[in-house]
Amino acid sequence: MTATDGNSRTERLLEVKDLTVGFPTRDGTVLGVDGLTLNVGSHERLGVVGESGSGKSVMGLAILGMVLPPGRIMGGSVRWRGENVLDPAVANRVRGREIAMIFQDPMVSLNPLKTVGAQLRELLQRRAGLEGTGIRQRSLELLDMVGIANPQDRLKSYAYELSGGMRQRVMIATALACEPTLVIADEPTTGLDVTIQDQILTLLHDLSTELGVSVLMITHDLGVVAQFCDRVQVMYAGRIVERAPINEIFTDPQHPYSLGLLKSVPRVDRDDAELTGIPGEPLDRAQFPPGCAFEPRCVESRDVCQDAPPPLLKIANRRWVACYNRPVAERTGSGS
Amino acid sequence: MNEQATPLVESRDLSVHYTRWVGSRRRTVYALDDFNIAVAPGETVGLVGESGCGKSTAGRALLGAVKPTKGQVFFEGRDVTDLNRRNWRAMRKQVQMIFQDPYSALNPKIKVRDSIAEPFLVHTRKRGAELDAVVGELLETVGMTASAADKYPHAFSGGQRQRIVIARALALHPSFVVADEATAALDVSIQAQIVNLLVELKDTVGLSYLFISHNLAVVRHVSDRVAIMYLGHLMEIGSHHDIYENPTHPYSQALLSAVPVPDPATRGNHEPLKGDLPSPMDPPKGCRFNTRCPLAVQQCFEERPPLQERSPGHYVACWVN
Amino acid sequence: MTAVEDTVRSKADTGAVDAARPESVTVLADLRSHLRKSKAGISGIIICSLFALVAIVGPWLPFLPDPAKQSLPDKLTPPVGWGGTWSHPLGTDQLGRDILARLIDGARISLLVSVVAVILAAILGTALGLIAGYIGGRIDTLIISAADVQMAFPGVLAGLILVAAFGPSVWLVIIVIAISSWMVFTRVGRSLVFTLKTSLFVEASELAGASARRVMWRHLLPNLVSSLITLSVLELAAAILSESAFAFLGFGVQPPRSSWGLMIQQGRNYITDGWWIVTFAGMAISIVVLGVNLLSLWLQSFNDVAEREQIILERPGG
Repeated sequence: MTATDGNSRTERLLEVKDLTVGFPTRDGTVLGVDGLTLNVGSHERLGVVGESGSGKSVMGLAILGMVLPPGRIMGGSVRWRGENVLDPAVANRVRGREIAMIFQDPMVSLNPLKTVGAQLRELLQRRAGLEGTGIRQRSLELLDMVGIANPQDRLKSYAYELSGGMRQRVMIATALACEPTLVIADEPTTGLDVTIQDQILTLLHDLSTELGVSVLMITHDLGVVAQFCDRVQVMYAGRIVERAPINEIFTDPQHPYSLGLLKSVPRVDRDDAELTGIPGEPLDRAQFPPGCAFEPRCVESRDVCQDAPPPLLKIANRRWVACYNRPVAERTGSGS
Repeated sequence: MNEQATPLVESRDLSVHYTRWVGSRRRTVYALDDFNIAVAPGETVGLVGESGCGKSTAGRALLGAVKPTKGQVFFEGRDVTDLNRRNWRAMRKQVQMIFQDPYSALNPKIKVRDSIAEPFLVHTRKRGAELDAVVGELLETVGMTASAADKYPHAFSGGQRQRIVIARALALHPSFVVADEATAALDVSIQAQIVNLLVELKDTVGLSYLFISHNLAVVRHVSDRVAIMYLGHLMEIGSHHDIYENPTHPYSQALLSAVPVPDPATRGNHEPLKGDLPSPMDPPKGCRFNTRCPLAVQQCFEERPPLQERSPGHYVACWVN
Repeated sequence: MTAVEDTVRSKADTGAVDAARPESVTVLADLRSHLRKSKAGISGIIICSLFALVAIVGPWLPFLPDPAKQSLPDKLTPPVGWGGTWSHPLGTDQLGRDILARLIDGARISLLVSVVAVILAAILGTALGLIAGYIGGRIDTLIISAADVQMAFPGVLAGLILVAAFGPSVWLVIIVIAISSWMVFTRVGRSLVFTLKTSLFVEASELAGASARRVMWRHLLPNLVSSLITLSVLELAAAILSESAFAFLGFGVQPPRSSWGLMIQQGRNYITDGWWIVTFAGMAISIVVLGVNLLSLWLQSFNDVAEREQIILERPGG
């Protein structure tokens, strides 16, 4: 990976290189994430978009060393400001403090037996090292920050007493409690109603700008990516197939899969002539071909595509594609 | 609402209320209130709204799967609200449903053949080789191979299962199909395949759909007319063009602008709607949208606005707009 | 952050399980490879099949004396190793009958009675559970009240009453055991049906116009089978114990036929002169109940999909 990737004004925060996560199955080890490389800079909102089974959630967990058995990290490195996060000691220090996570279903992430106030208190004591009245004050401040009305009353509420949108706001408050530098958000608005999703996305966007927090947004929704992110990586079958600045992926998608995805999504703001879709079905993980994983569904497939997975190569400034059918830029980086 | 001919399916003042225990208290859930809709032969009507708006209840009430508290359902002009068992079974051939979750919609313990064959076993005398042939044809109609009949559902992906569910729904040549979030559980690339299949079947088989979805973009793509619901009330109903190009109800406007468009050029051009959805157990008086409406006036808190025709075929329930 | 970590666990688990389920593997192959990794399962199967085999082929074993043949001169011969001879390896009882032969004959009765009783209970209980769970309403109230009453009513008392009315017999014991365990199947079946009947495939079938009988038979029952088989095996262990208890009380099979419970009852009086009568009969009961319990333990772990995958995926020999 060359230093020209990402925005040169920003500081390089998270560097993931050749990350590989395997799950043992009866047919041998299946790679949930296969040689993934990714960087997040400061003040950046990076989107990782893919369909189910693309490995995007496994990636989010692996970055924080949270892949649980039988899955395991089989190779690669994850560095946070130069420190190795795959070292459990470093991971424990960074996780929840400098890097926080937001999940899809706050009902699972919040403790059902404790009030919102009690959970925030515990977090602020253990992770932020606050004491005494400072805790209550900070709790109120956090709830206010995520747009919860009457924060005094909400401190006494249990998760089940809150609506889905309210729970996600509390989840965001707990994530921001220790003033993280990066938030990994895994499908934070999936399952919420459209108008509530809109509120949460706007909130996350505004907070990340105000607080200068970077966001790694993991989602299946191209609309969320378009509205939220600065840069996007498209994942298919555990690998990144394309990486581009936000405007370019929508105006000029290069990988046939990105192209197919965009042609599959109907738009609410205009009448689409036709949804092309992508033919075929996503492959069973155990039956991946030796070549490009997208090859069996690809309209541009050639013989070479069946031999080995194409490396992610730079095709233009800030643009990378893993496809044998795309011309490579003059000054080629080291690729994958 | 559709003047040219007798609508295929029509509801009049259809209401569904049911009671639910909350702790030790019995509460009434106002799932659907005075729901009026008509679906013409060959037409696709989209029914959209957020959770708790009653769109699924409306679909099931039209099919007779939920008993209405009040109101009537007409099928081809005939009142079918209180059919006896025999006539009800006869109507079952005419109306069908496609479900949201293709994993739960197929019995995991029986072969695909038996799932698809069930309507024939219940309603016809087709058996044996004749039945196998029909099942094979149905599978091919939905883009699968006839050999799929011999497998169990677990051998198929979500998209393939949804095709099988569609094949089962089509078995007895229904004229009206309620698609309840039929693509919500699928990945976008597969969703596009299923949407295309449904649109294609409408013409080749001659179907009318009530297309229930929370996804306004998919509804735009498939629907001739669209109805927007909020907390059991119809807020606006009109042609595809009326709703998407000229949304009139403040809720319709807010809902449409809240959808994240896959185009960064459309960013930041709206203010999100404030507040949460009220509970259907405790809906606001008057217009149900009054707690979140930026335009609400005194009248909105006192009286429910009726659906009024603003232009031919475009009905809006709002005191202000 | 424990709550967060819990989420992670559940997510990672489901991900791993989904990824680890190739569809080509049949249930039978699964059973075999799962069994190979489970010591409890192997022990259970060996014990159960050994007893079943002996019970079936018992009367045709060439070296075995007639279990009913008395020989007073040989009475209370101790087993081999305690002064006995190989003509009666486990010794003889107070009437000089061969203990080994009587144990094997007893196995026939004990296992037959309990297996038939559990099958009857399972059929009756499951049918009632299906009806209660699916039809609901008054019928449900009626069935579940009956189950509650049965739950509170001691089986031995029921046995006593019936024996008083009809006199002791094997069939009576079968019926008594069956009616004192059907409600277990009813309760479990009913609660499973409650969840299943909200499945969309049940709704689809109803919308297709299928009758209640069809829905119950074609859609609900097949989805209950695996849980109910596990339950049956567990109930079998209880039934074997009940059968012994009834035989001990003299309700069941009558001499000269033998049964483990009956042997204990008769041997009880000679416990100082012939400890082996009670001991071997008691051991037979304990071992077979242990075997059945091990089998049901294994079936339970096999029915839990996540646990099954984990066990199958463990390194060979683990």
